[in-house]
Amino acid sequence: MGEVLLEDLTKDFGEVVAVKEVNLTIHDGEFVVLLGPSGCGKTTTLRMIAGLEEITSGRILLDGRVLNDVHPRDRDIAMVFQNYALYPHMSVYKNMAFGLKMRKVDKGEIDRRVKSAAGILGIETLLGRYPGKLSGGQRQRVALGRAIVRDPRVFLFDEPLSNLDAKLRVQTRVELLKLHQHLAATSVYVTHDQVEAMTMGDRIVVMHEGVIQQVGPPMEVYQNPANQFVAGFIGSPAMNFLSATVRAEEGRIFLEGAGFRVPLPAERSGGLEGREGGEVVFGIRPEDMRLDAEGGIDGTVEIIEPVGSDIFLDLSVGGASLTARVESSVRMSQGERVRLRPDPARVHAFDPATGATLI
Amino acid sequence: MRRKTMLRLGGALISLLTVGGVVVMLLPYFWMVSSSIKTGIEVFDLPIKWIPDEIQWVNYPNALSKGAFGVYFYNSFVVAFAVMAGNLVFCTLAGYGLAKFRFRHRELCFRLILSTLMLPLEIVLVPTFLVVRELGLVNTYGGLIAPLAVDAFGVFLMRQSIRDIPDSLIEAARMDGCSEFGIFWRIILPNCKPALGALALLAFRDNWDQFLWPFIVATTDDLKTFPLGLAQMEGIDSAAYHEIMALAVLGMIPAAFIFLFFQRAFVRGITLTGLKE
Amino acid sequence: MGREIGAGRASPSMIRRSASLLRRWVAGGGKRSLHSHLRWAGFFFVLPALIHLVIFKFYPMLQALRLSFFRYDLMSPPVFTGLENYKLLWENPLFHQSFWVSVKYMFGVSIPEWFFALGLALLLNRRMPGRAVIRLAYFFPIAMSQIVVAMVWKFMYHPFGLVNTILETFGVGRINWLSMEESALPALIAIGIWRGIPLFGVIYLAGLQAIPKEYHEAAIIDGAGVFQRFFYVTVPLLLPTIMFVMVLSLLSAVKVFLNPLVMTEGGPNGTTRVLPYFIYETGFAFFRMGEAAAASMVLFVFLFGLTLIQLRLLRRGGVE
Repeated sequence: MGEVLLEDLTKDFGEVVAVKEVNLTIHDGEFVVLLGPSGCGKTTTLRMIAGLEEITSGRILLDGRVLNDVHPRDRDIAMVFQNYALYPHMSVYKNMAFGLKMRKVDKGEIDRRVKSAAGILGIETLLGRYPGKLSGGQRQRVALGRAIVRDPRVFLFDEPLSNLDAKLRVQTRVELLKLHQHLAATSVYVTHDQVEAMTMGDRIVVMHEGVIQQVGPPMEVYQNPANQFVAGFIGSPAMNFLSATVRAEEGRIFLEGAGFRVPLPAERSGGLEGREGGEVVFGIRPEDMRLDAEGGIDGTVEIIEPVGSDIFLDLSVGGASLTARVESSVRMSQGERVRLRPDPARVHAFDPATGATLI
Repeated sequence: MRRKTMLRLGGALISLLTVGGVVVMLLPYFWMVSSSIKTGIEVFDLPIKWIPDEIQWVNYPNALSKGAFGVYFYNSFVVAFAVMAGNLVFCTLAGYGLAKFRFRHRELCFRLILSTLMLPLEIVLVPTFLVVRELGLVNTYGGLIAPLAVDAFGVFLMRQSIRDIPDSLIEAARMDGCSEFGIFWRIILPNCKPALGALALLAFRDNWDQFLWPFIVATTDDLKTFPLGLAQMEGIDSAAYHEIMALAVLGMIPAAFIFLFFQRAFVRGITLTGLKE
Repeated sequence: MGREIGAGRASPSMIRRSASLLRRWVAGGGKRSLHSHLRWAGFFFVLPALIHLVIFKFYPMLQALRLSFFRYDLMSPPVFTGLENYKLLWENPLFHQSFWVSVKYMFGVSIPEWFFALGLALLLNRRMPGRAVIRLAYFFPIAMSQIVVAMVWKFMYHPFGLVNTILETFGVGRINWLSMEESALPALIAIGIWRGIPLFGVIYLAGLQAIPKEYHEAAIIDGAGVFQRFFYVTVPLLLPTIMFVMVLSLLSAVKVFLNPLVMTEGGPNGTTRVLPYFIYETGFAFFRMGEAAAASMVLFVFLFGLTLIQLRLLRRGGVE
């Protein structure tokens, strides 16, 4: 078992509120990713679960037991640190065995568990070495191994891939996922990298300024962002935002602004009711537009960025900038005027004052 | 072309300076060793013969017989090792507490400890003696050792060095189930060996060396330390330079040995301290 | 005297009261949890050192202050005499002489040390063949005992010793360094400098090595010469170390005692009677404990003021 419950979890450092009234249920065996920019409170939340940070108010429960005053060692939780935190003076074997030794586990059992974890991670040959002699990827595995041997109810990961180079990061990401499928243990994973979050999480928790913005499966968060912050944070290149006015003509709703006029299908315009004539933020992802001479967006090509599989166009639309993704077969030149048609099902609109999602 | 010559000349000058410096720093010690194997008359012979025709090993036993030097050496070892142990334990504990924990008035504690750098034994000599007397420790090993067992510089050294150990190591150990003292013992100590080496060397030197305090607090012959014994012998027989030098050589050996043993750790320990604030 | 320490029995209520006071002092209003436990753990790590320093530094310091208002000879009970001891010191020309000898010794030793040690560190920080051996040779004297140094130099300064022998080859006559008023203190100062350079050199070297190479490389690209790099890169970045060496060298110079004692016995004519020697003599040779304590207080106030000035300079230098 390993169900983690956060109730009104709050942490303040004197004046600064780092985490504010966080409520979250993490189910047994689930892989939950805490995602947000640096300083959003995700690491503080993780450290509170680990017991390394004092809780200002609220509660943390693991399988119904309140953890607030439980020592980290007694929480049955293991953590993989950002810098791995391997003990430099101990061999890989001793690093992995340390947690069990401290718990007075029988020597034979320690040996069995360390060897089995090393087998899973493919680091049997490194057991006699010292951390200083290992590569970044190898250290990462040892850090994982140290957590695995404990066979904890919950794994915590604090940006474990951030110290690896790009290629290794992708590779390790896949391995981590396989490992999670194999162990099926509850995992809480902190990252600021949305690709990691999207690919790894059963659910993503987007945080900003200490507050949870949205919780949900990756694709849902991507497709139906709860507010403008989430919409802008998830997706790369980021969603385009243009200020627009709501127009109602002949029973149809349009979003209109400098250089664009986008019609909305009737079934999606409900959120804009009563806002006719008012200001909103029009949001559209680069990949949700296509070139179309009849399209509602009128722009001038400023920069062309071919990335191989696609081309990103940086356009000037009525003075604002907008990024669109087009197929790599398209031929385009700088200064050319183009028209784009947004996918009506993927058009977003946000309240300019609160950032709340309207459609 | 001219520039090159200048550079080469400058380099030669610096090399000369370096070597000259070494000579200035070490020559007195060479002279000491050399004099310790000459006769009492040869020591003033001119021109100086660095290695005498006949080496007078006999100076050593002769010098040693002029006082209870076995006892003095023993006492010096006891004091130096005990004070060194006290420093290693207490300064490291305090350094760890100050470097890695948050508690109220921590900075005040640190400042108080540092402020005792201004209270060397030489200044609080009289009242320290009175305290030791009140504790009934005059003419005991305890009295020789206790007032020296903690040194503010040692606390500073260890705090600086322990600050460089990542917090996550401590946190990982805490999650691994280590007790707070266990963390100190199993994680902190093994990871600040260079600073411990530096501290050990300085503590040993300063207390192998300890003169003033034993001079005040140890009045009986069986508690005298080597420096006291040497000064006393010199006071009686101040013209026997060859024998005084022989004793000085003997007095140099333990510290030299400790230095060679710890020198790598020492230089690294001081380096790691880095004096960052 | 003596009632303050160990005497009398603490009552349970007193213990309880001080325990609660201590709790508030360390943990504030903290709850009972791991984290208040950690605050306690931190405090307990510091506690042994703190207790030691209270017993052997702060308490004696207070005692010295108290004692400086008493006449006390270790035998008969102390008699309160108010400011009498300070007045005696003020009127004692030997004390004035001692004070100035100490000041001269302190600055005479430490100021040259600052420069020589820095020079040594710069020298040893260069790439050169055999650097490890040369460093070892320079640092070796750090391990040498004071008494060994004192004995060797007493011999060195002998009218027929090595110093005079070397000077003679330059045409300087033989000087009895330690028994002439003009030369005794300079002779001791020279030993102090010679002795201090290696240790402070190591500390400077450590500071130099802590300066990232990039700063020098950036300065080279900006066209700075050797001297410009020294004054605009090395010195500012080395400032914390420089201040540290300044404080430490002054504090260690003021403690000097052994050399005057075994080499000159404070003479000739008190020209090498530094304050610690004066304090020792007054207290343990003449058994005027009160007066010795008063002298200690004067020395302490002097040191305290000096340290404050240095800290002020340190802060103005932008270092904390």
